[in-house]
Amino acid sequence: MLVLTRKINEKIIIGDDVEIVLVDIGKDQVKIGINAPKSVKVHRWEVYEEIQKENREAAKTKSLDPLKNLPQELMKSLGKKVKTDQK
Amino acid sequence: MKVSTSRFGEIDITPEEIITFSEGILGFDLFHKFVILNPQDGSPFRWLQCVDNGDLAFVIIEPLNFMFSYDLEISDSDAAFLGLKNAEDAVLYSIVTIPDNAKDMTANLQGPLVINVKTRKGRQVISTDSHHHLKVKIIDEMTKRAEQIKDVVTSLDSGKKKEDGD
Repeated sequence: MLVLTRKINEKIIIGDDVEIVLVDIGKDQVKIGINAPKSVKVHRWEVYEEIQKENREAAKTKSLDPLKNLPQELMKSLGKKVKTDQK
Repeated sequence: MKVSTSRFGEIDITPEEIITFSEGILGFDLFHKFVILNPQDGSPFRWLQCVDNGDLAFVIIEPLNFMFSYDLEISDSDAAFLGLKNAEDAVLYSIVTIPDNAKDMTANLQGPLVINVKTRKGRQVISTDSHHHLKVKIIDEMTKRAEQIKDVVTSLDSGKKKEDGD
């Protein structure tokens, strides 16, 4: 792993068009600014990890039988889509 | 073509039905080809069954089947990835997690699946809308939706009454 030392407002460039700037340094956190083209996805790493975890949990479902125990009235209204004209 | 699955036994699918998630579903990046299995009973719960791995399947639902509204802003890069030119070609699904107590089942609105029905390409996107949560209780949302529908109907009714009065 490449480790660089930067001062506030100093930048790092990744490739030709991803720019990272150190905006602020706090006691135990730093604020980072990222300038990147729209085609580059930038997310907090935890978001990825949480979605992966949730997907693994979801993949454990073996059948829809447990849904049969839910109130039938509720299940009937579930299928209906509400059409709204608003965007 | 025949695909053997752990949940549904051997299923017969046509190549046209296949939806390609070329990056896979997050956490399962090795498997790219899926089909959607529709229930016989008209239930909004469907299965996203993997074709490359018969053991892998997810329960999915369209958010509007239980929510009053769900607006997702599809980024330019996601649209380009999916070859998406018209919003009408996009179908949104949410992956459902069903715990032991099915009443607590949740839908993942933070990482919805977007499928372009024209190109049959799919991607699990990450919503940047902070209102789109990872675990949204489906039954709570349905209750909320029922209230919202009631409100709309009431406001329509009162508007009508006013007109009648004039």
